[in-house]
Amino acid sequence: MNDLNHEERPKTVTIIVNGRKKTLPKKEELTFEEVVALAFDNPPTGDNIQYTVQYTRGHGHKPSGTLVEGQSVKIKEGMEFDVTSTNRS
Amino acid sequence: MSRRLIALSPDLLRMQNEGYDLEIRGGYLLVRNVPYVDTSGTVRLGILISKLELSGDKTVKPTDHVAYWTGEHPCHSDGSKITAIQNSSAPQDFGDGVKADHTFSAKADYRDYHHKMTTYIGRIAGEAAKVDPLATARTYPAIPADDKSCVFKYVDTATSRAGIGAVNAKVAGQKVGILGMGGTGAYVFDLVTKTAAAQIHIFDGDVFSQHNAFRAPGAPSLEDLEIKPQKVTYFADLYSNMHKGIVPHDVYLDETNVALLDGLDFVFICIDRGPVKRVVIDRLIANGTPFAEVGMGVVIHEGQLGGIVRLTTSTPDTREAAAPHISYADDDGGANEYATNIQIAELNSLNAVIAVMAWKQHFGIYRQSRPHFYTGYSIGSGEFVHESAA
Repeated sequence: MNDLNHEERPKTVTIIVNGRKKTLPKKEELTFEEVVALAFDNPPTGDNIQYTVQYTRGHGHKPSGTLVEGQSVKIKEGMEFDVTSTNRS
Repeated sequence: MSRRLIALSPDLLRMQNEGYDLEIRGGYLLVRNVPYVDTSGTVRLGILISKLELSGDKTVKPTDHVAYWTGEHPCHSDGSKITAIQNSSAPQDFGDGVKADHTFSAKADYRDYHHKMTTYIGRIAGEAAKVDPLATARTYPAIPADDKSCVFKYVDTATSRAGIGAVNAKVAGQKVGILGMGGTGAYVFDLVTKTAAAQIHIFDGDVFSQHNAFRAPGAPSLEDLEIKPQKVTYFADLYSNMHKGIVPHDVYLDETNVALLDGLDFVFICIDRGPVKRVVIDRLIANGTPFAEVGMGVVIHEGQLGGIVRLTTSTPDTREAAAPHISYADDDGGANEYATNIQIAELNSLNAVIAVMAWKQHFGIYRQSRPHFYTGYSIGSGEFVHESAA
């Protein structure tokens, strides 16, 4: 039906990072570093900072999981990410 | 000794679990605080007594149907004597302070002491209940632990009532360490003190302050706070009411004292400081000690709190996979706009619960189809995110 109207399939994907909607160009994967950058405008860095990244509502074969440095994940419409420095107890 | 006999004898354990006030003295079983009706129609309390026949440390099927009674002869609700159980009324002294005023006889083939005693109690206390509906021999008395080897000051009737003694015994005798007695560490401690772990070593060099009271189990008084106790002192004093194996260490761990962790069977790491954590974890890995490391990150956005409550479980089988998930982020390094210290009692408590469950899973109390080295609770989505080796 879309084809009849010559509408193109959406070129963006909206994900949720720490409760904020982020609309991204449709692309295959986000890296750990890209997710952190989406979570914080100016991510603090250095030896004393470390992030935990986890996601839910991802792709079917692994709808939830974590990302550590060097890893990436295929994004999906409505996918939710939590990104914090989980060092408090 | 008598508690051991009760624990090993299913009929006596069943009576204890049903709330009867048992005592074993000089070869006799006493059930105290059994309500009965006297000749004036008043409800009073007596003691039902039976000789105990034993084989080793356990009861056997009673061969004697006779029971004894300390008190006036029990009556029907109208004040007339219950003649159906009446026998001799000559006072008897069985020694060890066990004395009877009456002997009862109601012949039956008693299967065990539960059957025998509850049959007599039914007749006697049943009449009392007609006079006072609240009268019952099932008083659920507080039961001190008389066994020196017991880690508790009083008997763990929750475990015996649930019939899971053998399951819970899987952590009995362990030496457990809890590093950091902030919110999460305090809740971990609260849960571990309810287990039969032999020694619970708690480590913290900090003072228990007013703000800690709002992220800790229990409710300290203003007077408790005014004396500014050390955290480990406050918690050790309070929980020594219940558990006998609490070992407080009023220190911050570092290279000079990290050997205090040697010989522990499991360690909960509930500290904020990255460099200390490195020292501790290096030692635990060198020692082959399994540990649970917890932490949370909670951020505020548009007036609402979100974030992650996380557990990393590192055992000799999951060291490598667990390593990248352990947070070495440091309290002092967070001089930025995102540095917050948002923690709420229920989040600390949740973090502690999943950590204590991981400990119990590691030692086989809880079933675990896939051992997780990472567990993270997402506040926003309400989902648990797991990473497991399989």
